[in-house]
Amino acid sequence: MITAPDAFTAVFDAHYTEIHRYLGRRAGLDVAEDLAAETFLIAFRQRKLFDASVGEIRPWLYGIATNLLRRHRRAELRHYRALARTGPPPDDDGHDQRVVDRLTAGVTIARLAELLSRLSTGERDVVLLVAYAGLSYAEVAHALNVAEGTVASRLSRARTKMREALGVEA
Amino acid sequence: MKSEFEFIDRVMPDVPPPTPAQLAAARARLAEAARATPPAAPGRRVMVLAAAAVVLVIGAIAALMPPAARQPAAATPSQVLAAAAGRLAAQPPGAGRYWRMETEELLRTKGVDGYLVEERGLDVLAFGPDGDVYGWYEAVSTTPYGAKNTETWRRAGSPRLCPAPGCDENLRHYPRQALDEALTFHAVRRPGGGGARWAPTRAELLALPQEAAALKAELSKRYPAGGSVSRADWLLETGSRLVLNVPATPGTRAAAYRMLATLPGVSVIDDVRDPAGRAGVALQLPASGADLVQLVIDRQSGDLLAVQHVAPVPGLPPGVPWSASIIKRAGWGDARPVPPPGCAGCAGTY
Repeated sequence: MITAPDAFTAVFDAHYTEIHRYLGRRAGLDVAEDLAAETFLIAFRQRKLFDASVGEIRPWLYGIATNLLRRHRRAELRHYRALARTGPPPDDDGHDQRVVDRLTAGVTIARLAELLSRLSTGERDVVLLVAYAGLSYAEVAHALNVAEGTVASRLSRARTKMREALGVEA
Repeated sequence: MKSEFEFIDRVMPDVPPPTPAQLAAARARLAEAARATPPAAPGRRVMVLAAAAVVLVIGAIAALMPPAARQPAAATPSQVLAAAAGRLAAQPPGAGRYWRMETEELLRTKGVDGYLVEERGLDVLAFGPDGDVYGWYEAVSTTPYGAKNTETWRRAGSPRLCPAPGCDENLRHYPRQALDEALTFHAVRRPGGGGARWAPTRAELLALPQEAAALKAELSKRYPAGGSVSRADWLLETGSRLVLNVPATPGTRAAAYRMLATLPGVSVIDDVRDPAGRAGVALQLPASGADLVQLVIDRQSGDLLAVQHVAPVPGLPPGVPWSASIIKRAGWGDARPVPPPGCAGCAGTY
């Protein structure tokens, strides 16, 4: 039971770093520090509302974090636009030239950032909960409180846009 | 093509993990925010404070934090609904031979003299174990709605407004609906269409699934193909009836909330008040034309508080319901319902 304070301590220890990472990758570290703290404060306040019969705590935390991000949509879009203009920050290890599977060698962080900035908020949420958090469709549905079918349709639309933008075959 | 998402994860820049100092700062910020909230009630047991620094800080937050009496601002309406549904599903199913529901019925409408009036009445509906059903309605009052209409009514000489007690002594109580069809589900009919119908028994209703997807599948099986009613309309109708005025387990009701929330055109709105002034989270369903149906749900228990209709009615402020069923009591008991004396047709079978 996460309503016990010591159990919530364990929740903080187990998930703070990954929630911080998720928020940082989406909106930048400046915003992430604030939002990660707020995510856990809200989770602590809502701990009695958490329903273990509905889903796991991890998607629940990602859901809170994602909802908080919506208040910082501009910061997230600025983050993508900055990446689109300048590529990865200097301390990154040069992923921008990485070639993956069937994707073309010309695909860069800049192009991907541009694409992410063009997705709708709902599409971006499901794509990045799958990509960054590794959540299943059911877990994304639980995190965002939408139907699994909605998750699937948003992912499908996002995939189509990705294929068009990145020039890859399905 | 799963690799698209793996690709995003692998290509997009990562961020460094928080340093120990940043982690400590985050904890300190939590503690600071917790201190800004009112302290716990005197005498409340101080929470666990173990030796580890993490436990010390978070335990201190716990001791300072009040219980979650209100939803924090960042809780989305859907999250509030999901939590309420979870608590409803956890309720015991109830016991007794009769399922009985009592509602206050409210109607804000234009009276014969042209000004808005508010009609109120009490309705009882009960289902027994042997196909027996009971129902009766009694008018309670009709009054002018609001100060402006009251003034118009006064200027007209304060005429007696009906329906109200004493207006029709020969019809003080009457069944508000056809009792032989009280358990029958009728889907919304479209012009020229034949509609759809499902007449389950009480036992069949109580055996319905308690998980949203399974409930949707079960209700879809009852969907009469080939009619003029869409599958979505059918699920809207049957789902909302299950939480309103038929016997169903708490688990099935909770599943119906969750199912309804996923249907096209349905939205979830928090902090909606029913005409009794009770605040809750609402499932807002599309109805005919500009009319919207709101199922107002208690955030803490998940119980249905009221069903209300909202539409732009001249004279009514925007968002104020023009019609509502306010739930006064709903549940199981062993006392056989006894219709009022002289109430014709107030008991029957379905």
